[in-house]
Amino acid sequence: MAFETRDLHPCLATEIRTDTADLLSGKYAREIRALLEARLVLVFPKVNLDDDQQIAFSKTIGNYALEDGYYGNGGVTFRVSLDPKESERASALKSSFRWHLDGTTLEVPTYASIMSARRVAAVGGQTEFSNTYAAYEGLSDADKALIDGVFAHHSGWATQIGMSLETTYAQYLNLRTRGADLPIVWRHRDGRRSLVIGASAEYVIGMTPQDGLGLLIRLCEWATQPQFVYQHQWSVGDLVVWNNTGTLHRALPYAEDSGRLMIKTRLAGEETFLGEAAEPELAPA
Amino acid sequence: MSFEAIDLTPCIGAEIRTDKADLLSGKYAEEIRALLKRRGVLVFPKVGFDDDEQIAFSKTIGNYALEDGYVGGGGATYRVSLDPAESERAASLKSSFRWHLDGTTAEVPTYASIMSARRVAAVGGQTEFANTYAAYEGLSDADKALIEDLFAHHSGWAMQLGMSLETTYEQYLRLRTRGADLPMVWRHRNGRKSLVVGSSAEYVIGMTPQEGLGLLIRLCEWATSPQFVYRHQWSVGDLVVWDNTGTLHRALPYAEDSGRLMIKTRLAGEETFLGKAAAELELA
Repeated sequence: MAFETRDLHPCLATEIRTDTADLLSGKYAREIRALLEARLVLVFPKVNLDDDQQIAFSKTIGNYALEDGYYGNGGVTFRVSLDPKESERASALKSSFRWHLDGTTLEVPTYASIMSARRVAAVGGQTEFSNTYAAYEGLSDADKALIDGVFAHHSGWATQIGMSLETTYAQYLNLRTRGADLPIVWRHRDGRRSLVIGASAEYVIGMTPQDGLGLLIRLCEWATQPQFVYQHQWSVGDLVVWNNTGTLHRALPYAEDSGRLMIKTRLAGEETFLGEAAEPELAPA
Repeated sequence: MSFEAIDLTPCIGAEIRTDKADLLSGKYAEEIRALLKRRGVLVFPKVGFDDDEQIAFSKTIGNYALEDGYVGGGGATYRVSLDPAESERAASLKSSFRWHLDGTTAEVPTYASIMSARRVAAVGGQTEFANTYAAYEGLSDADKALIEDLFAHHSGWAMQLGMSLETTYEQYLRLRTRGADLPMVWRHRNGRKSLVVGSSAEYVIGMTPQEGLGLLIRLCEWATSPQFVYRHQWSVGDLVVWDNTGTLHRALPYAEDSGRLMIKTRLAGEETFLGKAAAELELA
């Protein structure tokens, strides 16, 4: 089979159809990387890769890395499920129902995530992606000037707000161990700019809580309007790759007992939120 | 029947047994007022008041007032239900699952709330009350000194935090119309001190968000530890009165379709959070 592409939305997301063998061999790796930069979300319908194949494919397109280790040792793949029997992170995963990007409290955020559907939910569970490059470009000049040089604090606390009715002081202190001040505008190495916002953003440095939260909410609402958003309806075997540095994503709510199970791998970040080149993380032996 | 009062826990809550007629006539109003001050929560098991009787009883023990009007005009009684068919405020009521006191964004907070059970939930729906006078008294000297002169900002935004996955900018601006800076220690007119904490507290003025939220969470956790808490398991017809100025309360979660229906009236506040007498009492 050749390498066929089809745009799924005017602003982002492209579907790619090609042979599994070609995906695993890296034959089109350069084309895939280029599309990941340009289109941000790539959909490979029903390719049905197993764990080893997903890892092998991941390695062809970037620096395959272990899952973020903040809950202990990362595995080679990460099982995304709301079912506590499937995933030890299940209880924290409901935060994925809010718009976010991954790794906002890491020095170097994930470059791309690669996720495949093993089981899907009958109701809900779609994943939505928004283009934060386009959202930045679409801002008024006044808003671009307003957020130029402004930083926001991102935290594990903000990510988990409202996920449980009460937070114990011990939980609070634990959530507070993850936090970072990030520019609202990410000036990438390649000269492009994207918005760094979403559920992990807690407050704006130098603004009152009132003004700062208002700004964060207004920007997030702007960036996730339909003209910037692609919604993926999963079929079993679908593989989706997204550029985490130029998108926000969220899952639409689904039930704990829906059976939904995703396998996720990731590519290490290549630059910091300040656009500085980063040493690639070591891939597992 | 005479007037009998039995303590429900060492720190908070008393059960009162007396005749319905005596409650409506105000015969024991003075005793009830005094007990409300001392015990924070008063339980009148299965008195079975209707709306008019509940209003009449309310008037015997304080300044009966209409429900806070922030979601439109208040009625003579307020129907507390998670069912949208029963209450137009149903959607925002899940915030009552978090510890709070009423009226933190009103100039003069409610003095007391009076609630009776018309229908109860089969699972959950208990109401818990914490004594914030005792919680203040029990703090270490270091903590008392730390919070002595601190103020926290309380807001509609903080109350509704996490109640929905995403907040629109429009919803945010509306929630922001309700807010006030309140002392963390309420020095009451009578000389007693209580803690003003709970889910409406958003940040501490003069502290970093990290420190301030940590302090608010730590104080709320302290104030709601079991030695300060009474949990009321509702039976149909129960009437409970609580002193809103010296307690926090929350409902334990129950389902929207549980049928739970409470009738609530309230007594207008008599002092501000700064311990000043309310100049003009809001009268119904």
